[in-house]
Amino acid sequence: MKRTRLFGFLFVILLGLAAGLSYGWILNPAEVRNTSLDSLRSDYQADYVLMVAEIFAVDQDLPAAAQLLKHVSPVGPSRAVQESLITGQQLNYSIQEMLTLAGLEIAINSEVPLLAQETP
Amino acid sequence: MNEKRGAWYLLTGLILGLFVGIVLSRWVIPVQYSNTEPYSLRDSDRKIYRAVIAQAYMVEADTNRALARLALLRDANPSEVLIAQAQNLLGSQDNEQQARALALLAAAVNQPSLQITPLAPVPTFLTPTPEHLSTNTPTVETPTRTPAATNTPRPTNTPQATLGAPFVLEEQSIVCEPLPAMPLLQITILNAAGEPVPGMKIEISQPNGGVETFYTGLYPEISRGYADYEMQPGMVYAIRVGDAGQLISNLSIPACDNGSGGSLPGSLKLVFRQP
Repeated sequence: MKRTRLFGFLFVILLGLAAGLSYGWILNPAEVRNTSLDSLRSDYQADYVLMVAEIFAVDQDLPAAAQLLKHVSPVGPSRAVQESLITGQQLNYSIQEMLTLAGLEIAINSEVPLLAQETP
Repeated sequence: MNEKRGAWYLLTGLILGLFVGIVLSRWVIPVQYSNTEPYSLRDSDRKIYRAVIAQAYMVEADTNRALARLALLRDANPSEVLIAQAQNLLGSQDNEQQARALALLAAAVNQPSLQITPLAPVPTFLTPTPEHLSTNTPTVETPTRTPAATNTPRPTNTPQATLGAPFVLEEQSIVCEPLPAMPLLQITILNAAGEPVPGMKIEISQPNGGVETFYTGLYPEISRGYADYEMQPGMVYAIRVGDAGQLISNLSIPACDNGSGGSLPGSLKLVFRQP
């Protein structure tokens, strides 16, 4: 009888635990707030990376650009730009925007700022 | 004796499990969100996002696009938030450009018709060939396409007008009535249409060196184009509105009659306007 009570006690604890987790995770999850840039949807991330690429195209400050990109991709700035290029293709970014992104990717991969040269 | 306890232990266990479950799910291991929207960002990341939008605005000069991006953050009062962020950055010399971008974006929020001259990008050796892009695109997991992205306005390559003519001093007066609690340099900046201009940079300097920068728009309850600066006794100031505005020098605390032959410090009111 004592054993039955113990099992019953453990069972209802697990039952309560399951109910509590269901409540907190499914029925009433924590409000979506205090999220980070790396949790943004891919289209927003791509737009963020595009803005960084546009800023880089003007100031050529690669460390600053890399720092901004780390916020959206802890794996590395290059990965952030690569994923943005794919998203940009899917969302029909203009050629100019894709070139801006590509310019940043090349600069990151070569780790030197692009030389300013006039296109013939 | 034990048999008389009945089934209360079951209820105790259930409540205990429920309590632990809720604590775990709410605080210890809460739901990890992905695919979030900018409005849910924490404060520090919102500031980064805002600063990037502002700097991109300086490059693109596309006001509509910048405002659309800014709207994603759902700030209650975007202009004030931008100005406050710009003011916080002014302590650091390195962030001067960023502060200016934020102030300019704040001005665009209040004046959507504002047009600025985009910063010229440094030309690169890339040539616009789609093949180049495809060869540089690695194969990685395809991200989810979401409908909201199609709402993101695309930039246009239309030429932009310049910011406008420099501001000139239209009115300078001494404020004695009511006698101010502290001597202030009260500056109001108006555009050509006579509307207050928020986010306008004002530089104040002293003959013995030292330049401080502040922006209009921090006191919308007075005017969106208003800013003030507390003057110190014995100091002479010069101010300039914008980067190419008229330099107004020899500004100091004016004397106001206290009614018994003496004097008390008053304030100076300056109104600048775009011709």
